[in-house]
Amino acid sequence: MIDDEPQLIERAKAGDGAAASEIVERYQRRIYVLCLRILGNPDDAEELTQETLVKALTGLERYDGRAKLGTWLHRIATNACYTRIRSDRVRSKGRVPWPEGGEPEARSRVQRSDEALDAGQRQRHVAVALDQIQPEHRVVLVLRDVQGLEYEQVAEVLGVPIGTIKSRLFRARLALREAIERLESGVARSEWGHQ
Amino acid sequence: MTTRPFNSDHDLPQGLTESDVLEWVEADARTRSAATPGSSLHRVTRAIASDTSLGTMLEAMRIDRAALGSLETPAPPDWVAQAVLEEHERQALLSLSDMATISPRAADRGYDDDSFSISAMPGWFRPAMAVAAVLAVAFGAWQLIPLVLPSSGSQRGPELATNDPVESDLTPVTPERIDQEHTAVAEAPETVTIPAPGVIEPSAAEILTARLDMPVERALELALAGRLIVVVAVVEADAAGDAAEDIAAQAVAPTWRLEDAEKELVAAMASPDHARLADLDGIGEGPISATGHGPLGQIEYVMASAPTVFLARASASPEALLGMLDGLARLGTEVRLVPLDERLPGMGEIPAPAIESSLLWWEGDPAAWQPWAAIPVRFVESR
Repeated sequence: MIDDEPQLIERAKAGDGAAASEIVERYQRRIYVLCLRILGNPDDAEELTQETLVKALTGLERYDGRAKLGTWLHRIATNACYTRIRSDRVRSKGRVPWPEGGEPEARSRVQRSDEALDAGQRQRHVAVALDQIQPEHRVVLVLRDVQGLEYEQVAEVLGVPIGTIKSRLFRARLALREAIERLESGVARSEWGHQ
Repeated sequence: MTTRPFNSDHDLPQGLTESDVLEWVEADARTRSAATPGSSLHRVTRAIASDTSLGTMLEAMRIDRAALGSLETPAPPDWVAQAVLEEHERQALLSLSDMATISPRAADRGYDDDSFSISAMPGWFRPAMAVAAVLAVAFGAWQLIPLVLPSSGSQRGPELATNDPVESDLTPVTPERIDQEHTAVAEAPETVTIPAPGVIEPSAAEILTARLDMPVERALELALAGRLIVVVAVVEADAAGDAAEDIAAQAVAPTWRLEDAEKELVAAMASPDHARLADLDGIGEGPISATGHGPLGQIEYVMASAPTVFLARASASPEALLGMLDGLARLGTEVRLVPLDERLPGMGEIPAPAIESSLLWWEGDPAAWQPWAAIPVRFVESR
């Protein structure tokens, strides 16, 4: 394992297969999670992870080292996701499977109490709500909260100023909150409908 | 947990900004409690004390953020890394790093049993490949000797038609076919022109430019005005459509791409006027007609066939447009540019997309990127 990333990149640029393999090993999971959370579809996420890493390795000559390799990969993957979302809009492909446990409404009919949601339920709600908000909002939330990027990195990935990122993130948090509330009120309505 | 709706700075208490609120939401409890008077965290904390609904909202946002951060982070299946390295190796071998290729989608193939890798081949395979390559080069050189040396007495002219038995044995010409196993764009123009000795061979772009119906600058102008259609004559529309789908699925070049056309565009292109425009010099689908018997006797239905239409997006430069036309030409037997009198809705100049071609455009303000053009591409079967 090569700890020094610049050295790793130089070796990969020089055609060292082990270095290329190390880059893939090091970043594939983060890129996969990024694609999965943005697209919500494991098949698409696998495909775009592959596409991103191939593009990166093939285009490594163009990587100038000013941004971190991880940030650069996030940028390529995010752009690939945007492209996929745009084409999916046309093709109307199936969206995300519900997280483990099925639809929150269905589960709630037997499980929900008036107590605060437990952590598992909250995770499920947040995952479903994330898929219901605009892609622009979803992307910024995933980059910041799921991937844990700094504001500067998110700005580099999306190619917009930090101020814009903050404003977009604030609106994204509001949109997510509203989506969660819609889910929870849907839960409540379905319960009333069963009483 | 229901919170009141608010959507902008105007709904935040006076003196608070979105940035202040974000900082509070993202700060841990210790940092918030240690906020110094006058700091943004302190201002938010004070505002919350006097506005419980704001406090409820921000606390909910904080919990949402924690939930997002605790979502599971699954690893991709093992085949993903394997497929990446194989594809990288393949591209390196083919020296196609400057032009992405069309390949079967990994997700469809699985990469479990039939994937191709030089390194995965048995030890005898590499020397065998090297010997085969040397033999192929030698054979090719032997074939060219009569052409390059006029004194050798060859009667063969400078142009080899595709139906030449020798040539067709060597190079099967199936322009619309995509090699499903390993390669990218199907090869082969309709004819292969061998330049006479001493003549400077024109570049592919020059050949293409000479074949176009109009100067590429004019085509670019029309494309940006939404008044250009590209018609690609193909042997079989379904096969070309499949090949185009492959192009659409994977960006083949950083300066252009193909996408499925929206139904409005397909509908517009299905009009009789557009069908006529596409029917140039004997290419084109022509209308579908059928007869039937109604209460008033025999009637004939005539309708335009459903066109095979894609939407091309290309960077607005002559080079990018030529690159796109060259790529499309490989799918069929002929490419034509058709000018329109009126702009097609949604076509024409579009902003540079934020796509993975950022590999090339990592630098600079996106607003300064060259605009792109949206151009309809119609595949028509040659008659």
